Amino acid sequence: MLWGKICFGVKLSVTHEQIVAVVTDIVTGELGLAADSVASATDLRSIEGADSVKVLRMISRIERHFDIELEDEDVFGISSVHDIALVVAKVLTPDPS
Amino acid sequence: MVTGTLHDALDRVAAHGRDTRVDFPSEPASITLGELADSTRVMARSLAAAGIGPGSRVGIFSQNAPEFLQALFAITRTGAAACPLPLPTAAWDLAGHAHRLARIVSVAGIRDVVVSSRFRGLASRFDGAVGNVAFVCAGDLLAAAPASGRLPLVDAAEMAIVQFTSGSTAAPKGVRLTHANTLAGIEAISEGIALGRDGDGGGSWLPLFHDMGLFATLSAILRNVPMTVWSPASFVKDPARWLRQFLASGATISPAPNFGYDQLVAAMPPLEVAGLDMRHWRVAFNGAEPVALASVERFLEHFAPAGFAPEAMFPVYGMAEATLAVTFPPLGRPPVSVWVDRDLLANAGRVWQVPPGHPHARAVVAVGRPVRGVDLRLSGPDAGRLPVDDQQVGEIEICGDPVTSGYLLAEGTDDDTFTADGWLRTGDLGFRLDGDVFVTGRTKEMIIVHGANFYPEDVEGIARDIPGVFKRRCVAVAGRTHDSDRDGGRDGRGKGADGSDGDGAEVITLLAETSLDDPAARDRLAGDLRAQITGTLGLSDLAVHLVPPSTLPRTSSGKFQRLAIREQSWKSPL
Repeated sequence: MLWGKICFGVKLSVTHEQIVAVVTDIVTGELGLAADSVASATDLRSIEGADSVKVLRMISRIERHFDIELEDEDVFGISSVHDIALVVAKVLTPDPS
Repeated sequence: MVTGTLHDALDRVAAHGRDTRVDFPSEPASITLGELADSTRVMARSLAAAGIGPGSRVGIFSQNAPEFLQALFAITRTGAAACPLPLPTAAWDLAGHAHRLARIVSVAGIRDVVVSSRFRGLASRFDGAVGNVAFVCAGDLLAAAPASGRLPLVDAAEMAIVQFTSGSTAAPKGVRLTHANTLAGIEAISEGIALGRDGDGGGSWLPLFHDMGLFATLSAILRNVPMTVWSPASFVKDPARWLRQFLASGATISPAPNFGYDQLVAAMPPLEVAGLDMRHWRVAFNGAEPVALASVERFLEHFAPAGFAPEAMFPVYGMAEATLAVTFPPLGRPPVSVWVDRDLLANAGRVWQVPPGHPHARAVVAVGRPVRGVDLRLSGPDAGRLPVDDQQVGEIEICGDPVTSGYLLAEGTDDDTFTADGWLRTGDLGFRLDGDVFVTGRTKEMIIVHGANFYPEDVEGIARDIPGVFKRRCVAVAGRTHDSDRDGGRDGRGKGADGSDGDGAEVITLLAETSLDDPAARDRLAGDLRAQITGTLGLSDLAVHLVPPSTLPRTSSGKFQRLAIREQSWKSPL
């Protein structure tokens, strides 16, 4: 179990690899694919059946998992598990400024 | 005859409905009609001071938020026309979207775009790719307005809105709507559903840049009816949560394309339906894409325990060219449908009723009668375009006060939309039975997915340049799967399109020649084609068939034989 939630006011750190693992799990689950069939860099739009509705559903599940909200403007232009993981990491990592 | 302008109508309604609200729960934000009227006068002075006035066309680039509506009315107050611009969706290639916007900006002659504060950052990422336009923030226009300044008197015959929902990405067509058109269209919608009854409220998750989302919202506003506008993402991400919010908002009227009703059925578990109260939902517009009887029946059955009234399901036919509404069913009538022979309909344009279980039976849902102010006729395909009789399919032609007088077009494009006697050819096919209009297909090569229009030529334009495609040879065809395909394979993908006679999902099928033999390389090419095309166009899905070199049939002059390819593409899955 991964933790991205706020505990005692501090966001526990999650590594990029951990985020990638969760995102991959959700993406392949939504598309009904084997977990090892989607590499981090795979362009999701190249997968048959990965329509825009499914992409939004994936994002919704990712949001629920990490208890975060991804803004529309953050998810425009994303095309791979790697891209999604970067957006999630950006929201999970407290802004140093 | 309706007179005046959109903003006059807003001022009139705001005078007695100052506190009526338009809510945007996904923002969250809210604006009253009084605030909308006042703020748009201020914003208009800013725009006028920047040189915007009669003859200008100004883009709106905003999510569903008060700023969208403020920009719209502020622009029309200056005498300029408002051009709602499409927003990208998740996983949509930004460069591709910028290119699409650039075509629209060029065709419409847009120099200024009002952008919401939330989209200002995204607009800056376009970095000149949209053309020579200035993005101005709605908030800045409000803050920096001159204290005084005269606004022009705007004539009802001036262009108010240019709606870019028709036409391909390569050759966009902007539907020109005057103030008189839009007010007549809103009048037609309002009368058709008796909008403004006690307790009425509107609710929509459609994008405001989409004609159905825009005119549904404007109808509520100009009839002093409270309106709630969600973001499209909030619906798509969690339809069940949206439905609960919609029902709790007290709204009685909502528009959605057919697929939205499928989503609600799939998202709401049967055990939870009885806990809902849907009795107050009195008009559920089902439009913007073909209405499927199976979807309608599933929805009525699924939500019957919650008290959803069958007569609330309201299958309609409309288009931006008519300021939305063309035909509505009589208010209070449950959906009506007929079963006709699919083959006679497709091959002979003949309407022949058959029992539902007949092997060639195809269901068509009635979309009602022409709304107030719209005349409708059906014309035959022959050169004479003679009127067709009641048992025959014809092209639907319309005219009337809400109907556009023409398009803004790319230079060098001809407008063949109007007949010699001034009727607009819709490109849709249909028939009439017992006073009802039934829409059966299209003469134009276009598909509608989730309420948005897509054209094969745009698909080909992208596919040709992708490495691995043999000598740029590819053809895209539009069509619909048979319902039987959908039942078997859920969406019939891989079976291809069958022309206009199916009644299942709408698909674009791309056939591309390639000399690649290696299965992995072929998979990669198919994946590249799908990724590039869906990413650039925002098309939700695409069927790709790879064929050997020099197999797509061509005419002696080297042109692809589209019709032959279209037939072949579904008869022999490749």
